[in-house]
Amino acid sequence: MKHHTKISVVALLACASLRAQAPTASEDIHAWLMRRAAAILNGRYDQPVILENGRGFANQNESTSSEGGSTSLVDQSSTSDFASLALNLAGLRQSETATAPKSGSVTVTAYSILAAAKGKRLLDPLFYQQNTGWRRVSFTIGTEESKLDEHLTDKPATNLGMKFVFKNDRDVYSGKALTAMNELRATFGSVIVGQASLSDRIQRIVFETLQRPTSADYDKLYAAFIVSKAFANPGWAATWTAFVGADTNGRARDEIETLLSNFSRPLERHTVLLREKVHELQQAPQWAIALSSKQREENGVDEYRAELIFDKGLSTRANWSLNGSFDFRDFQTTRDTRAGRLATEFQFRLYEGSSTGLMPGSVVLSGSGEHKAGNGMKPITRGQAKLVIPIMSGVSVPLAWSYASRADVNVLPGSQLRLSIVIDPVRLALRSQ
Amino acid sequence: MPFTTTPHIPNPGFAQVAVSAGEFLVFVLDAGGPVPNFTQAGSVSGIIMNESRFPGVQARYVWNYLRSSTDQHNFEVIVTGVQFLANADYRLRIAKSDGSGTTLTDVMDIEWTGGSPSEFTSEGFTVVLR
Repeated sequence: MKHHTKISVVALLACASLRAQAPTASEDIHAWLMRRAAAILNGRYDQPVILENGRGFANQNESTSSEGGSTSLVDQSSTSDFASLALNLAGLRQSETATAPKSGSVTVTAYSILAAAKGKRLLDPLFYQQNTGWRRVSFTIGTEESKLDEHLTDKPATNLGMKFVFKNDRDVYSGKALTAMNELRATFGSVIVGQASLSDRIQRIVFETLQRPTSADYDKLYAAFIVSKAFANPGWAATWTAFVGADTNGRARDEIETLLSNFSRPLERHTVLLREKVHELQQAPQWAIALSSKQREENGVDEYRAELIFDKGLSTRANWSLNGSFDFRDFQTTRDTRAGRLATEFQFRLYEGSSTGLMPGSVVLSGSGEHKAGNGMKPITRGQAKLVIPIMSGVSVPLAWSYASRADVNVLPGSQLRLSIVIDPVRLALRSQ
Repeated sequence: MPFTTTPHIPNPGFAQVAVSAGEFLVFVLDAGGPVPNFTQAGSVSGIIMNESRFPGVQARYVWNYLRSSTDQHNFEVIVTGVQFLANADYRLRIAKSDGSGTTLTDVMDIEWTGGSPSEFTSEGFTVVLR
């Protein structure tokens, strides 16, 4: 009984192995051989380096952009590449008497203004290449509620800002990215050349096994075989079944397996290099300077900030920002204040959304801290935890909890909850195309 | 999330081309942007085309094959691969034309959308010459 059981298990395993090699009903020979080569490649690693989803080969840990026409290499700048609109909807108050000023702003890059002025599609390849510099500059304009006791006026402030990214190694036209693309062009070329040769060899092995042609009738029979869609979808699955039946000693299948194993080497070189380069580019550092101002009428307090910002990816899911600024508050009637500020933020992408799932974008958790000190003011330290929840493509809701060591302009002491909405009109437009 | 493949005209697995009558194949690759990256290779010819052989980045790449006798190898397998490194959407159309360039028939029309940077894909078929 034991002997029969052992044979049965072996037979079952053999059948399972053969079934794994067989094409699915929706595969043609090209999809099948790429899947088989990927399986051989993944077998050399503890964890799969590429997914075997038919014609798609994606890193399981890769962050993705499901936004139409855009890629996550394009999305990685610290402000939207094109435009965004932020509205602070409501502060969830700790006490009924404590209020937080409402604000709204829109940020656009000089690139998107130029594209709109010239009637160009934002991702038009030539326009994108020729205007790399314009993507480094962005402008913000907005309005913010003023409080009489803090700002010496109750008329709303006009917020103006400009940011210049002077070093952006994440841009697809940075030197780093162009070098990476050249390397990847070479390895990808090897994959495609290899795939063409491999397919040709496998097709001939299968044809010769099934039809045993003579040299005299080879071309005529091979042409008829190809035109019968023997290697296409859906013919390939039936062709393979017939081939397995005809390959009684298994030698033809062994030869195919060897060819697939040889092809998996250039496939591995390219896949590993691709993953490495994508990670490098997505985590590459960015440096920017930003100038902003809040202008108020009459005797209201005008505020100015000059800031240096550093941004770097720590992993495919985590990002770190550090910035330092000089803040100046211009009091029309009393002494001005000057302060230095240092802030840092860690962002972690908790969940990668999809356009068809419940979450049409990434869920991001961030933690930040800030310390500010200056003349005529007590130092203030603040911390914040924020969760950004995507509602739909181009619309997200940040929910933030913050704590401040004391009250300051636009800052309430103690803890606070705040809800806002961020709209990216360009992504909304892309989604509707 | 993996890209989506939409076969507007499915890949038949082969293209019968009467080169003796001057027929040839025309390839049109449309790229959503911003930086397309593709390679086409043949089992006999090696690399036939890629984006670096064009004078600058473009939204539409058009080239032909089999017009020259040096391209004509019966049963050659042609594979066209695209990378989504910095371009999420592509559409590949292949048509057969007569000697004057008039389209005789569409061979295939495949669209890929929503690709992420570490993905790539390809379509292949076999050329049968007459």
